[in-house]
Amino acid sequence: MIHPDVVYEHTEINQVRNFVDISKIAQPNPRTLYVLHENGRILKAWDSASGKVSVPGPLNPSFEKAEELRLQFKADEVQLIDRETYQRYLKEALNLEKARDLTGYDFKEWTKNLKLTMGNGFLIHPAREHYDYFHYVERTKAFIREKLQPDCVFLIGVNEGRDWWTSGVFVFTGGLVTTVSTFETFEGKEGMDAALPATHQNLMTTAAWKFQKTAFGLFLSREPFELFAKNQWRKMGQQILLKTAP
Amino acid sequence: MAKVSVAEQRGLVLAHGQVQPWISGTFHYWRVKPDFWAPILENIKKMGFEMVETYIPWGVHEIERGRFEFGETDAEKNLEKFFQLVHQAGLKLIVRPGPHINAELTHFGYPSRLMYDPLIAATEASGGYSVHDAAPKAFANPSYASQKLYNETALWFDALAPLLKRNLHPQGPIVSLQVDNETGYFFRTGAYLLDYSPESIGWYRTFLEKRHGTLKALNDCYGSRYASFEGIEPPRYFAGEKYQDLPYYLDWSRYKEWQINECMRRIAEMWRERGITEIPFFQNFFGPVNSPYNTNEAEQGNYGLEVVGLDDYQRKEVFFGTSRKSAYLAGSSKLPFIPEFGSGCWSFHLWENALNIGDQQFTTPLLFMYGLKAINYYMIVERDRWMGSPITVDNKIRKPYFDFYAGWNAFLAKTAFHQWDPPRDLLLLANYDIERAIKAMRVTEGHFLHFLPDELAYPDKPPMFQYLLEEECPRWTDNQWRYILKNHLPAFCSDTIISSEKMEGYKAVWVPTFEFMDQRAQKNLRRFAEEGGTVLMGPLVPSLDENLRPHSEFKELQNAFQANVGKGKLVLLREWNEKEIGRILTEAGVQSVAEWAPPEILCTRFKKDGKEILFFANPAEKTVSFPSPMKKGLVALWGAEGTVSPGQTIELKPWSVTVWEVRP
Repeated sequence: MIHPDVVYEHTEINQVRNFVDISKIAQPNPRTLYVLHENGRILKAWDSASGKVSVPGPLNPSFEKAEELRLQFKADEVQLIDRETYQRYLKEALNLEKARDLTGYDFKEWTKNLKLTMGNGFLIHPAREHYDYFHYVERTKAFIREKLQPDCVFLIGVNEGRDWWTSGVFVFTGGLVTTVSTFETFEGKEGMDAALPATHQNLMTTAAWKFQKTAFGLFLSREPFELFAKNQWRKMGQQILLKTAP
Repeated sequence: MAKVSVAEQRGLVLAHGQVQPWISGTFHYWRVKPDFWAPILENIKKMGFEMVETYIPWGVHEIERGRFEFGETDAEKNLEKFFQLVHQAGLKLIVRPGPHINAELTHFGYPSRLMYDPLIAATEASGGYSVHDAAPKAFANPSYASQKLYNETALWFDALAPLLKRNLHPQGPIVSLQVDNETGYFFRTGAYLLDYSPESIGWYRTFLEKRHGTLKALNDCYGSRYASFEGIEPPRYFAGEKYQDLPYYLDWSRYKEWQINECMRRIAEMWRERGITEIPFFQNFFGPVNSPYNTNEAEQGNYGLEVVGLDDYQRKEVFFGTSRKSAYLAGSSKLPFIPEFGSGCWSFHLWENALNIGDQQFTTPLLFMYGLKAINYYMIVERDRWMGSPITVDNKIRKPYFDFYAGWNAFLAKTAFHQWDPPRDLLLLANYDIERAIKAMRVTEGHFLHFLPDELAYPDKPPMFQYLLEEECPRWTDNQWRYILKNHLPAFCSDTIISSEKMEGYKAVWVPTFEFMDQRAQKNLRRFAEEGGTVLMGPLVPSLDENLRPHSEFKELQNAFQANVGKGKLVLLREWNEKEIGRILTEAGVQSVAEWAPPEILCTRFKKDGKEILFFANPAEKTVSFPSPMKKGLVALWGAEGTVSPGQTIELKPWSVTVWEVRP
């Protein structure tokens, strides 16, 4: 969903910093029990919350065993990793043709899906939606597909009082993001009351005119935005969007 | 004789002999409309900069293989015009022409045509190509051993060299060149990640032959029965059972260290062959200081590099690491230099360290406080994929940032700060042998494609050594720096690769030691003691050398805690005991620069021509106040105003650095 030649310009760092910090809250960060083994012979078991733990071996990895360990160690997630299978996963995932042919995010998604198909030798239970900072790829793609247009500009504005706490301007071309900015890109709009619907509409009109594309906009205040973050952004895409033609 | 050279601990010596302090900032000409170039350079000067730095991106200037565009049709690529404007502005220029530059470009500055070539791609331990899963577009990390990559690079250098040559100082602005960029496996720091390409394995075998000389010597070292060097396969994870198994694995790590330096040597040589001979070359490691990276070796070895620095992009809260990095450079490098210090941040990956003005106001003076002498702020002009710089892509000023750099540069210029030196009482050495071994003893590696906790890499089995090195060694090293900070001791850092010459002048050296240590490092330490210094070591006395064979230069300590050797002494600290550490260091002549200052603040002292300045930093959210017990008054030079008389209170605001001159 990101074009290889994407341009990031006129980004205001404090607004981005606020977004980056809130995105950390949006990480699921499960308590994970890792068990590294060699064809069942346990090499090390590590609980992300409590450190080194003892798991009786030899291990006969299966989903049932993973669930049993998950309950036993009160973990959210269990990863049973046979060293050879892990290496086999890496070998398959580090695929030059896929890297060349897919977009960056599609490559990430492909490697994620691959890791969930390695059988009992590389077993993650339960499967996660994602394993990477900031990247809820499938949901983001669904939002773009269902709520936006392949060629459009999407604004998100989060206000704290009359100021912008964070903001984003995403220009889509052919379904891929080609430009990213904050509201700094809109010259002469500094100082407008960020809480006012009139300001939001003004920015929508400006964006549609500036980029000559239909503008979609999502404006909310910091508190509900943080609540969405704590829920891994779920249901945020169901918010009603403003829409303005160029 | 080169027209530009490096003045140790000072800066660059220019053609007419004057010393130019190396304080520069980055400006990417090709990402800014040419109409803005001259006015932006004027604004850079207004901030007090006398030097600018730019990458020169191969992938941007190449039109097709072997054909390059330098402004014939595209004004933004008119490199000569940019050089001329920099020169006309009276600024000096640092160039970084790659081949690798990163620069947050989609293919790290390489032409995209090379990024999916199996003859260039590095290979990982798994057998897969080393794909870099960047967000806009994944690509393969190149192998430093790929001859095809060097052949292709030669085309770029052939085209660029004449242009650089006619713009070298003093005819033009160019005073230094960086060889490649962050050469070091593209952030894949684990011993068993890459590079396992056929050419790299060929280099590995060549390295083994150079290191051991004969197959018999290698077999004796490994306890192996190899019939030829060609028959030796590199390790892909640690499978040793006893410490005698380690040399085979350590050699793979040593090879990786050498491969980086050999790559830089080749690229430096390529520039020299093309006539770029009158300016010093430098390199930047991206941050870590353990294997496969080493500033000492890269500078001391014959790799064509004058200065090797470390990059740094950190928020103020990690001041512990930032201060130590600066002290490491001060203790290791000819010119303590951060070639990339975060002035703003890349917007590219929404990276977690979005640095803002609050970070820069604290961390920038902090670096100088711990011995840094040269810095390049990356970036001082914003552009695509970068935010938080003092000048925007269209030459607007971000005032707090602009004012900060203008003020700090004025302070450095007014005080001629590059001429001031802190006392060199104590040298802390990281134990490079042990840190190399810690990385070599991993049974698996985490990966960008799948995170694994570091601890998972060290299996549960009977220990090879008395301590779990991966836990004990970092504990000692971190405790050392914590001790230095809270006691305000004048200390620099380095590691056991350091030459004996660089150890001269200190009163004491303190190094965490365990069962084994390189013979040369052992001899250096002993020599330091024999010449009158104090060597503090422990918790164990090394009894083995780098090949895990019996060897100790410290036999006197096998049955004693302290031994006089020559004019100095060896002291063993078996357990962490701060009272004992204090006694030993005091006896050695190591004196706190401000023993009266509260432990929660940071304090260092500099001297020049009988004058003294003091730095105080408050690395916390609460204001700290304390009376000055000094018999002399203090005059504020930076971060505060007015004077403090003896007995008056010094107040340090949260996250502040202040600098004071001690009244004569």
